[in-house]
Amino acid sequence: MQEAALVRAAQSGDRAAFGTLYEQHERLVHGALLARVCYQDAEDLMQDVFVRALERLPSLREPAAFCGWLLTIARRMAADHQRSKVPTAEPGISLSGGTRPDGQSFAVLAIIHRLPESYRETLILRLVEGMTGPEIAARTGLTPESVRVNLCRGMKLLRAQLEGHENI
Amino acid sequence: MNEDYLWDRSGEPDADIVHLEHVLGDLRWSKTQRDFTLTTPVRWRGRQRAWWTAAAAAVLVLGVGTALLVRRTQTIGPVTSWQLSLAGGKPSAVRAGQVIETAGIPHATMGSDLIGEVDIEPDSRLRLLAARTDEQRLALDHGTIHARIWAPPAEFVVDTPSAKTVDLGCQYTLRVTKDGVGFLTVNMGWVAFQSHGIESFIPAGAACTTRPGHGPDTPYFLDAPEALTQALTQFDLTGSNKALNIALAAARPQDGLTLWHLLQRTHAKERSDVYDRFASLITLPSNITREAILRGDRNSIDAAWNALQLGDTSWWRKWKRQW
Repeated sequence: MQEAALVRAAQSGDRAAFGTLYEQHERLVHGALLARVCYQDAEDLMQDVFVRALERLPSLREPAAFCGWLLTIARRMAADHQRSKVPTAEPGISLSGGTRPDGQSFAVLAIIHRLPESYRETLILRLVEGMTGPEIAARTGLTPESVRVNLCRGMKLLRAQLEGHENI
Repeated sequence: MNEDYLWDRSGEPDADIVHLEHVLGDLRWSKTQRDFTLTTPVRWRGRQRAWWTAAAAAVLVLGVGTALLVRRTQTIGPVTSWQLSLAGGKPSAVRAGQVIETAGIPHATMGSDLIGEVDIEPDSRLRLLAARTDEQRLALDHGTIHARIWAPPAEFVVDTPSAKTVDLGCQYTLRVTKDGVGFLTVNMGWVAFQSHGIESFIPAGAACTTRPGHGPDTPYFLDAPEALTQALTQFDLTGSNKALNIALAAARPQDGLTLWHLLQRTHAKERSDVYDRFASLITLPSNITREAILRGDRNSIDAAWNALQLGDTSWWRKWKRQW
Protein backbone atom coordinates (compact mmCIF):
# COMPACT_ATOMS: atom_id res chain seq x y z
CA MET A 1 0.00 0.00 0.00
CA GLN A 2 1.30 3.49 -0.89
CA GLU A 3 2.22 5.82 1.95
CA ALA A 4 -0.63 8.24 1.32
CA ALA A 5 -3.10 5.36 1.43
CA LEU A 6 -1.55 4.12 4.67
CA VAL A 7 -1.87 7.59 6.18
CA ARG A 8 -5.52 7.83 5.16
CA ALA A 9 -6.17 4.36 6.63
CA ALA A 10 -4.39 5.33 9.86
CA GLN A 11 -6.42 8.53 10.03
CA SER A 12 -9.57 6.47 9.87
CA GLY A 13 -8.44 4.42 12.85
CA ASP A 14 -6.55 1.56 11.21
CA ARG A 15 -3.83 0.87 13.78
CA ALA A 16 -2.19 -1.77 11.61
CA ALA A 17 -1.68 0.92 8.96
CA PHE A 18 -0.08 3.18 11.55
CA GLY A 19 2.11 0.24 12.61
CA THR A 20 3.30 -0.06 9.01
CA LEU A 21 4.03 3.67 8.88
CA TYR A 22 5.98 3.28 12.09
CA GLU A 23 8.09 0.52 10.60
CA GLN A 24 8.73 2.52 7.45
CA HIS A 25 9.92 5.61 9.30
CA GLU A 26 11.43 4.38 12.57
CA ARG A 27 15.04 4.66 11.36
CA LEU A 28 14.48 8.14 9.99
CA VAL A 29 12.92 9.35 13.24
CA HIS A 30 15.56 7.68 15.38
CA GLY A 31 18.32 9.24 13.28
CA ALA A 32 16.76 12.70 13.55
CA LEU A 33 16.52 12.32 17.33
CA LEU A 34 20.00 10.87 17.73
CA ALA A 35 21.43 13.84 15.85
CA ARG A 36 20.14 16.13 18.60
CA VAL A 37 19.99 14.23 21.88
CA CYS A 38 21.98 11.48 23.59
CA TYR A 39 21.38 7.81 22.82
CA GLN A 40 19.22 7.07 25.85
CA ASP A 41 17.06 10.15 25.34
CA ALA A 42 16.60 9.25 21.67
CA GLU A 43 15.31 5.84 22.73
CA ASP A 44 12.87 7.44 25.17
CA LEU A 45 11.71 10.06 22.69
CA MET A 46 10.96 7.49 19.95
CA GLN A 47 7.82 6.52 21.81
CA ASP A 48 6.80 10.12 22.44
CA VAL A 49 7.24 11.09 18.79
CA PHE A 50 5.02 8.34 17.45
CA VAL A 51 2.43 8.81 20.17
CA ARG A 52 2.27 12.51 19.32
CA ALA A 53 2.05 11.70 15.62
CA LEU A 54 -0.82 9.34 16.33
CA GLU A 55 -2.59 11.98 18.41
CA ARG A 56 -2.22 14.63 15.72
CA LEU A 57 -2.69 12.46 12.67
CA PRO A 58 -6.33 13.53 12.15
CA SER A 59 -5.14 17.13 11.67
CA LEU A 60 -2.76 16.19 8.82
CA ARG A 61 -4.69 17.30 5.77
CA GLU A 62 -2.19 16.24 3.14
CA PRO A 63 -1.27 12.53 3.48
CA ALA A 64 1.60 12.89 1.00
CA ALA A 65 3.30 15.26 3.44
CA PHE A 66 3.42 12.64 6.21
CA CYS A 67 7.16 12.02 6.11
CA GLY A 68 8.19 15.70 6.38
CA TRP A 69 5.50 16.29 8.99
CA LEU A 70 6.72 13.36 11.11
CA LEU A 71 10.32 14.50 10.79
CA THR A 72 9.36 17.96 11.97
CA ILE A 73 7.65 16.49 15.03
CA ALA A 74 10.80 14.52 15.83
CA ARG A 75 13.14 17.49 15.37
CA ARG A 76 10.92 19.75 17.41
CA MET A 77 10.51 17.28 20.27
CA ALA A 78 14.26 16.74 20.36
CA ALA A 79 14.81 20.51 20.48
CA ASP A 80 12.17 20.93 23.21
CA HIS A 81 13.76 18.10 25.14
CA GLN A 82 17.20 19.69 24.94
CA ARG A 83 15.86 23.08 26.05
CA SER A 84 14.10 21.61 29.08
CA LYS A 85 16.86 19.22 30.06
CA VAL A 86 19.07 19.80 33.10
CA PRO A 87 22.64 19.52 31.78
CA THR A 88 24.17 16.15 32.60
CA ALA A 89 27.23 14.30 31.43
CA GLU A 90 26.76 12.56 28.10
CA PRO A 91 26.72 8.83 28.85
CA GLY A 92 29.47 6.76 27.41
CA ILE A 93 31.73 9.52 26.12
CA SER A 94 34.71 7.97 27.82
CA LEU A 95 36.49 5.50 25.60
CA SER A 96 36.95 3.19 28.56
CA GLY A 97 33.26 3.23 29.37
CA GLY A 98 31.24 0.07 29.14
CA THR A 99 27.89 1.72 28.67
CA ARG A 100 25.46 -0.03 26.32
CA PRO A 101 25.96 -0.57 23.37
CA ASP A 102 29.69 0.14 23.89
CA GLY A 103 32.02 2.98 24.75
CA GLN A 104 33.51 3.28 21.28
CA SER A 105 30.21 3.94 19.55
CA PHE A 106 29.25 6.51 22.18
CA ALA A 107 32.61 8.20 21.77
CA VAL A 108 32.10 8.58 18.02
CA LEU A 109 28.54 9.78 18.59
CA ALA A 110 29.81 12.43 21.01
CA ILE A 111 32.22 13.67 18.33
CA ILE A 112 29.45 13.78 15.72
CA HIS A 113 27.36 15.82 18.18
CA ARG A 114 30.06 18.48 18.11
CA LEU A 115 29.83 18.88 14.32
CA PRO A 116 27.66 21.60 12.77
CA GLU A 117 23.96 20.76 12.89
CA SER A 118 23.61 20.52 9.12
CA TYR A 119 26.03 17.60 8.97
CA ARG A 120 24.94 15.71 12.10
CA GLU A 121 21.59 14.41 10.94
CA THR A 122 22.79 13.41 7.48
CA LEU A 123 25.85 11.59 8.84
CA ILE A 124 23.83 9.75 11.47
CA LEU A 125 21.19 8.66 8.97
CA ARG A 126 23.98 7.32 6.75
CA LEU A 127 26.41 5.83 9.27
CA VAL A 128 24.11 4.81 12.11
CA GLU A 129 20.78 4.07 10.47
CA GLY A 130 22.34 2.67 7.29
CA MET A 131 20.34 4.82 4.84
CA THR A 132 21.89 5.73 1.48
CA GLY A 133 22.29 9.31 0.25
CA PRO A 134 19.41 9.05 -2.25
CA GLU A 135 17.20 7.58 0.46
CA ILE A 136 18.09 10.40 2.87
CA ALA A 137 17.28 12.98 0.20
CA ALA A 138 13.94 11.37 -0.60
CA ARG A 139 12.93 11.13 3.05
CA THR A 140 14.17 14.48 4.38
CA GLY A 141 13.13 16.64 1.43
CA LEU A 142 16.68 17.92 0.98
CA THR A 143 18.05 17.94 -2.55
CA PRO A 144 20.42 15.08 -3.43
CA GLU A 145 23.15 17.71 -3.95
CA SER A 146 22.65 19.11 -0.44
CA VAL A 147 22.77 15.63 1.07
CA ARG A 148 25.92 14.80 -0.89
CA VAL A 149 27.60 18.01 0.25
CA ASN A 150 26.55 17.40 3.86
CA LEU A 151 27.89 13.85 3.74
CA CYS A 152 31.23 14.76 2.16
CA ARG A 153 31.94 17.84 4.26
CA GLY A 154 30.62 16.17 7.43
CA MET A 155 32.77 13.11 6.82
CA LYS A 156 35.87 15.25 6.29
CA LEU A 157 35.22 17.07 9.57
CA LEU A 158 34.54 13.80 11.37
CA ARG A 159 37.78 12.27 10.08
CA ALA A 160 39.70 15.33 11.27
CA GLN A 161 38.10 15.11 14.72
CA LEU A 162 38.79 11.37 14.97
CA GLU A 163 42.49 11.72 14.21
CA GLY A 164 43.29 12.41 17.85
CA HIS A 165 41.50 9.25 19.05
CA GLU A 166 43.69 6.22 18.63
CA ASN A 167 41.11 3.76 19.95
CA ILE A 168 38.48 4.53 17.35
CA MET B 1 37.76 9.05 0.52
CA ASN B 2 35.50 7.07 -1.81
CA GLU B 3 32.59 9.49 -2.12
CA ASP B 4 30.53 7.02 -4.15
CA TYR B 5 30.64 4.53 -1.32
CA LEU B 6 29.71 7.24 1.17
CA TRP B 7 26.85 8.30 -1.11
CA ASP B 8 25.18 5.00 -1.98
CA ARG B 9 27.63 2.21 -1.05
CA SER B 10 28.60 1.78 -4.70
CA GLY B 11 32.18 1.30 -5.82
CA GLU B 12 35.12 0.19 -3.70
CA PRO B 13 34.23 0.22 0.01
CA ASP B 14 36.12 2.90 1.93
CA ALA B 15 37.84 1.23 4.88
CA ASP B 16 37.32 4.17 7.27
CA ILE B 17 33.65 4.48 6.42
CA VAL B 18 33.11 0.73 6.76
CA HIS B 19 34.74 0.88 10.17
CA LEU B 20 32.51 3.76 11.26
CA GLU B 21 29.44 1.93 9.97
CA HIS B 22 30.43 -1.04 12.07
CA VAL B 23 31.11 1.01 15.22
CA LEU B 24 28.04 3.23 14.92
CA GLY B 25 25.80 0.37 13.81
CA ASP B 26 25.52 -0.51 17.50
CA LEU B 27 23.43 2.62 17.95
CA ARG B 28 21.00 1.80 15.14
CA TRP B 29 17.35 1.65 16.04
CA SER B 30 16.24 -1.93 16.47
CA LYS B 31 12.68 -3.13 16.29
CA THR B 32 13.26 -5.10 19.45
CA GLN B 33 13.56 -1.76 21.23
CA ARG B 34 9.95 -1.01 20.42
CA ASP B 35 8.41 -1.22 23.86
CA PHE B 36 5.03 0.37 23.38
CA THR B 37 1.85 -0.65 21.77
CA LEU B 38 0.25 1.56 19.23
CA THR B 39 -3.14 0.30 20.28
CA THR B 40 -2.82 2.64 23.27
CA PRO B 41 -2.93 6.03 21.63
CA VAL B 42 -2.26 8.25 24.63
CA ARG B 43 -0.38 7.22 27.74
CA TRP B 44 -1.14 8.66 31.13
CA ARG B 45 2.01 10.76 31.09
CA GLY B 46 0.99 12.08 27.71
CA ARG B 47 -2.51 12.93 28.94
CA GLN B 48 -1.16 14.71 32.01
CA ARG B 49 1.32 16.69 29.93
CA ALA B 50 -1.32 17.51 27.34
CA TRP B 51 -3.71 18.77 30.07
CA TRP B 52 -1.11 21.02 31.60
CA THR B 53 0.01 22.23 28.20
CA ALA B 54 -3.56 23.02 27.20
CA ALA B 55 -4.24 24.82 30.47
CA ALA B 56 -1.05 26.83 30.28
CA ALA B 57 -1.67 27.68 26.64
CA ALA B 58 -5.24 28.80 27.41
CA VAL B 59 -4.07 31.10 30.19
CA LEU B 60 -1.31 32.45 28.01
CA VAL B 61 -3.58 33.07 25.05
CA LEU B 62 -6.17 34.77 27.23
CA GLY B 63 -3.49 36.93 28.80
CA VAL B 64 -1.78 38.09 25.68
CA GLY B 65 -4.38 37.50 23.00
CA THR B 66 -5.36 41.12 22.79
CA ALA B 67 -1.78 42.07 22.08
CA LEU B 68 -1.82 40.15 18.81
CA LEU B 69 -3.01 41.84 15.70
CA VAL B 70 -4.05 39.50 12.96
CA ARG B 71 -5.32 42.07 10.53
CA ARG B 72 -7.49 41.55 7.57
CA THR B 73 -6.55 44.08 5.00
CA GLN B 74 -8.70 45.33 2.18
CA THR B 75 -6.97 42.90 -0.16
CA ILE B 76 -7.74 39.89 1.99
CA GLY B 77 -7.79 36.68 -0.04
CA PRO B 78 -9.02 33.14 0.29
CA VAL B 79 -8.18 30.69 3.08
CA THR B 80 -4.82 29.00 2.47
CA SER B 81 -3.21 25.78 3.64
CA TRP B 82 -1.31 27.77 6.27
CA GLN B 83 -2.40 27.42 9.90
CA LEU B 84 -1.36 29.93 12.54
CA SER B 85 -0.87 28.79 16.12
CA LEU B 86 -0.30 31.28 18.91
CA ALA B 87 1.52 30.27 22.08
CA GLY B 88 0.67 26.61 21.49
CA GLY B 89 -3.03 27.36 21.10
CA LYS B 90 -5.52 25.97 18.61
CA PRO B 91 -4.43 26.63 15.00
CA SER B 92 -6.51 28.87 12.78
CA ALA B 93 -6.44 29.23 9.01
CA VAL B 94 -4.45 32.07 7.47
CA ARG B 95 -5.87 33.98 4.51
CA ALA B 96 -3.87 35.31 1.59
CA GLY B 97 -3.15 38.97 2.24
CA GLN B 98 -3.31 38.55 5.99
CA VAL B 99 -0.90 40.49 8.21
CA ILE B 100 0.49 38.79 11.29
CA GLU B 101 2.01 40.92 14.02
CA THR B 102 3.42 39.28 17.11
CA ALA B 103 3.91 42.23 19.44
CA GLY B 104 3.92 40.75 22.93
CA ILE B 105 3.38 37.19 21.71
CA PRO B 106 6.03 34.84 23.11
CA HIS B 107 5.68 32.23 20.38
CA ALA B 108 3.79 31.89 17.13
CA THR B 109 4.04 29.23 14.47
CA MET B 110 2.65 29.14 10.97
CA GLY B 111 2.59 25.71 9.36
CA SER B 112 1.40 23.99 6.24
CA ASP B 113 1.52 20.26 5.62
CA LEU B 114 2.49 20.92 2.03
CA ILE B 115 5.13 23.56 2.55
CA GLY B 116 6.77 23.60 5.94
CA GLU B 117 6.81 25.44 9.25
CA VAL B 118 7.70 29.00 10.15
CA ASP B 119 8.33 30.00 13.76
CA ILE B 120 7.72 33.69 14.27
CA GLU B 121 9.58 35.44 17.04
CA PRO B 122 7.97 38.18 19.18
CA ASP B 123 7.69 41.69 17.75
CA SER B 124 7.69 40.51 14.15
CA ARG B 125 5.51 41.61 11.25
CA LEU B 126 4.86 39.02 8.58
CA ARG B 127 2.48 39.13 5.61
CA LEU B 128 1.20 36.24 3.54
CA LEU B 129 1.28 37.74 0.05
CA ALA B 130 0.35 34.74 -2.07
CA ALA B 131 -0.38 31.06 -1.59
CA ARG B 132 -0.53 29.39 -4.96
CA THR B 133 0.35 25.88 -6.04
CA ASP B 134 3.63 27.02 -7.55
CA GLU B 135 4.50 29.83 -5.15
CA GLN B 136 4.15 30.57 -1.45
CA ARG B 137 5.15 34.16 -0.95
CA LEU B 138 5.57 35.92 2.37
CA ALA B 139 6.98 39.31 3.31
CA LEU B 140 8.91 39.86 6.52
CA ASP B 141 8.72 43.59 7.23
CA HIS B 142 10.63 43.29 10.49
CA GLY B 143 11.37 40.69 13.15
CA THR B 144 12.71 37.15 12.98
CA ILE B 145 11.45 33.90 11.47
CA HIS B 146 12.86 30.39 11.58
CA ALA B 147 11.79 28.42 8.49
CA ARG B 148 11.85 24.67 7.94
CA ILE B 149 10.70 24.03 4.40
CA TRP B 150 9.92 20.73 2.73
CA ALA B 151 8.14 22.14 -0.34
CA PRO B 152 10.01 21.73 -3.65
CA PRO B 153 12.90 24.18 -4.05
CA ALA B 154 12.10 27.74 -5.18
CA GLU B 155 8.43 27.54 -4.21
CA PHE B 156 8.80 29.25 -0.84
CA VAL B 157 9.82 32.90 -1.12
CA VAL B 158 10.11 35.56 1.57
CA ASP B 159 10.38 39.19 0.54
CA THR B 160 12.41 41.55 2.73
CA PRO B 161 12.67 45.30 2.24
CA SER B 162 15.87 44.84 0.24
CA ALA B 163 15.93 41.35 -1.29
CA LYS B 164 13.90 38.29 -2.11
CA THR B 165 14.76 35.15 -0.11
CA VAL B 166 14.28 31.98 -2.16
CA ASP B 167 14.27 28.62 -0.42
CA LEU B 168 16.27 25.94 -2.22
CA GLY B 169 15.34 23.10 0.12
CA CYS B 170 16.42 24.03 3.59
CA GLN B 171 16.15 25.29 7.13
CA TYR B 172 17.10 28.86 7.88
CA THR B 173 16.69 31.93 10.10
CA LEU B 174 15.87 35.34 8.63
CA ARG B 175 15.98 38.53 10.70
CA VAL B 176 14.96 41.96 9.46
CA THR B 177 15.60 45.08 11.51
CA LYS B 178 13.12 47.96 11.62
CA ASP B 179 15.35 49.92 9.25
CA GLY B 180 15.06 47.15 6.69
CA VAL B 181 18.42 45.38 6.98
CA GLY B 182 18.07 41.62 6.54
CA PHE B 183 20.36 38.96 7.97
CA LEU B 184 20.16 35.33 6.91
CA THR B 185 21.80 32.25 8.41
CA VAL B 186 21.31 28.81 6.89
CA ASN B 187 21.25 25.62 8.96
CA MET B 188 20.48 23.05 6.27
CA GLY B 189 20.31 23.11 2.49
CA TRP B 190 20.52 26.35 0.51
CA VAL B 191 18.92 29.77 0.30
CA ALA B 192 19.30 32.45 -2.36
CA PHE B 193 19.06 36.20 -1.86
CA GLN B 194 18.12 38.04 -5.03
CA SER B 195 17.54 41.71 -5.82
CA HIS B 196 17.76 43.63 -9.10
CA GLY B 197 20.19 41.21 -10.71
CA ILE B 198 22.42 40.79 -7.65
CA GLU B 199 22.36 37.26 -6.29
CA SER B 200 23.89 35.51 -3.33
CA PHE B 201 23.77 31.76 -2.83
CA ILE B 202 24.05 30.80 0.82
CA PRO B 203 24.71 27.17 1.85
CA ALA B 204 24.43 25.58 5.28
CA GLY B 205 26.82 27.14 7.75
CA ALA B 206 26.95 30.43 5.88
CA ALA B 207 25.30 33.83 6.33
CA CYS B 208 24.51 36.93 4.30
CA THR B 209 23.24 40.45 4.91
CA THR B 210 21.01 42.46 2.61
CA ARG B 211 20.55 46.24 2.83
CA PRO B 212 17.90 48.65 1.51
CA GLY B 213 19.08 50.42 -1.62
CA HIS B 214 21.99 48.06 -1.91
CA GLY B 215 20.75 44.48 -2.08
CA PRO B 216 22.52 41.31 -0.94
CA ASP B 217 26.06 41.55 0.42
CA THR B 218 28.67 38.90 -0.26
CA PRO B 219 27.95 35.66 1.67
CA TYR B 220 30.48 34.12 4.04
CA PHE B 221 30.82 31.09 6.24
CA LEU B 222 30.04 31.78 9.89
CA ASP B 223 33.42 30.40 10.95
CA ALA B 224 35.32 32.73 8.59
CA PRO B 225 38.11 34.85 10.13
CA GLU B 226 36.90 38.13 11.62
CA ALA B 227 39.39 40.01 9.46
CA LEU B 228 37.66 38.62 6.39
CA THR B 229 34.09 39.37 7.48
CA GLN B 230 34.90 42.91 8.65
CA ALA B 231 36.75 43.75 5.46
CA LEU B 232 33.99 42.17 3.40
CA THR B 233 31.35 44.36 5.02
CA GLN B 234 33.44 47.43 4.34
CA PHE B 235 33.94 46.39 0.72
CA ASP B 236 30.24 45.67 0.25
CA LEU B 237 29.33 49.07 1.68
CA THR B 238 32.02 51.26 0.16
CA GLY B 239 33.72 49.30 -2.61
CA SER B 240 37.04 50.05 -0.91
CA ASN B 241 39.96 48.46 -2.73
CA LYS B 242 41.93 48.35 0.51
CA ALA B 243 39.14 46.40 2.21
CA LEU B 244 39.00 43.98 -0.72
CA ASN B 245 42.72 43.26 -0.42
CA ILE B 246 42.40 42.62 3.33
CA ALA B 247 39.51 40.23 2.67
CA LEU B 248 41.48 38.38 0.00
CA ALA B 249 44.51 38.03 2.25
CA ALA B 250 42.41 36.65 5.11
CA ALA B 251 40.52 34.12 2.97
CA ARG B 252 40.99 30.40 3.58
CA PRO B 253 40.37 27.63 1.00
CA GLN B 254 36.89 27.11 2.45
CA ASP B 255 36.14 30.79 1.80
CA GLY B 256 36.08 30.01 -1.92
CA LEU B 257 32.32 30.58 -1.67
CA THR B 258 32.97 34.21 -0.77
CA LEU B 259 35.64 34.71 -3.44
CA TRP B 260 33.41 33.16 -6.12
CA HIS B 261 30.76 35.80 -5.37
CA LEU B 262 33.43 38.52 -5.41
CA LEU B 263 34.47 37.42 -8.90
CA GLN B 264 31.08 38.60 -10.12
CA ARG B 265 31.04 41.82 -8.12
CA THR B 266 34.38 43.19 -9.21
CA HIS B 267 35.81 44.44 -12.47
CA ALA B 268 39.16 44.96 -14.21
CA LYS B 269 42.14 44.95 -11.80
CA GLU B 270 40.01 44.02 -8.78
CA ARG B 271 38.54 40.97 -10.53
CA SER B 272 42.03 39.99 -11.56
CA ASP B 273 43.19 40.16 -7.92
CA VAL B 274 40.19 38.12 -6.78
CA TYR B 275 40.84 35.50 -9.45
CA ASP B 276 44.51 35.19 -8.48
CA ARG B 277 43.61 34.59 -4.84
CA PHE B 278 40.77 32.24 -5.81
CA ALA B 279 43.07 30.19 -8.05
CA SER B 280 45.70 30.01 -5.29
CA LEU B 281 43.19 28.54 -2.83
CA ILE B 282 41.00 26.35 -5.04
CA THR B 283 42.14 23.62 -7.40
CA LEU B 284 40.55 24.60 -10.69
CA PRO B 285 40.00 22.25 -13.64
CA SER B 286 42.33 22.74 -16.57
CA ASN B 287 39.55 23.97 -18.87
CA ILE B 288 39.09 27.15 -16.82
CA THR B 289 41.20 29.98 -18.16
CA ARG B 290 42.02 33.21 -16.41
CA GLU B 291 40.95 35.15 -19.48
CA ALA B 292 37.51 33.49 -19.58
CA ILE B 293 36.85 34.22 -15.90
CA LEU B 294 37.99 37.83 -16.22
CA ARG B 295 35.61 38.46 -19.10
CA GLY B 296 32.78 36.91 -17.08
CA ASP B 297 32.23 33.80 -19.20
CA ARG B 298 29.23 32.03 -17.66
CA ASN B 299 30.42 28.48 -18.35
CA SER B 300 33.81 29.16 -16.77
CA ILE B 301 32.23 30.80 -13.73
CA ASP B 302 29.92 27.80 -13.36
CA ALA B 303 32.92 25.48 -13.62
CA ALA B 304 34.71 27.54 -10.97
CA TRP B 305 31.70 27.11 -8.71
CA ASN B 306 31.72 23.36 -9.24
CA ALA B 307 35.37 23.33 -8.16
CA LEU B 308 34.22 24.52 -4.72
CA GLN B 309 32.58 21.10 -4.25
CA LEU B 310 29.47 22.67 -2.82
CA GLY B 311 27.22 21.03 -5.42
CA ASP B 312 26.91 21.30 -9.16
CA THR B 313 25.53 24.53 -10.62
CA SER B 314 23.10 22.67 -12.86
CA TRP B 315 20.55 22.15 -10.10
CA TRP B 316 20.26 25.72 -8.87
CA ARG B 317 20.63 27.32 -12.31
CA LYS B 318 17.56 25.36 -13.34
CA TRP B 319 15.56 26.71 -10.40
CA LYS B 320 16.94 30.17 -10.80
CA ARG B 321 15.32 30.47 -14.21
CA GLN B 322 11.97 30.06 -12.51
CA TRP B 323 12.35 33.22 -10.42
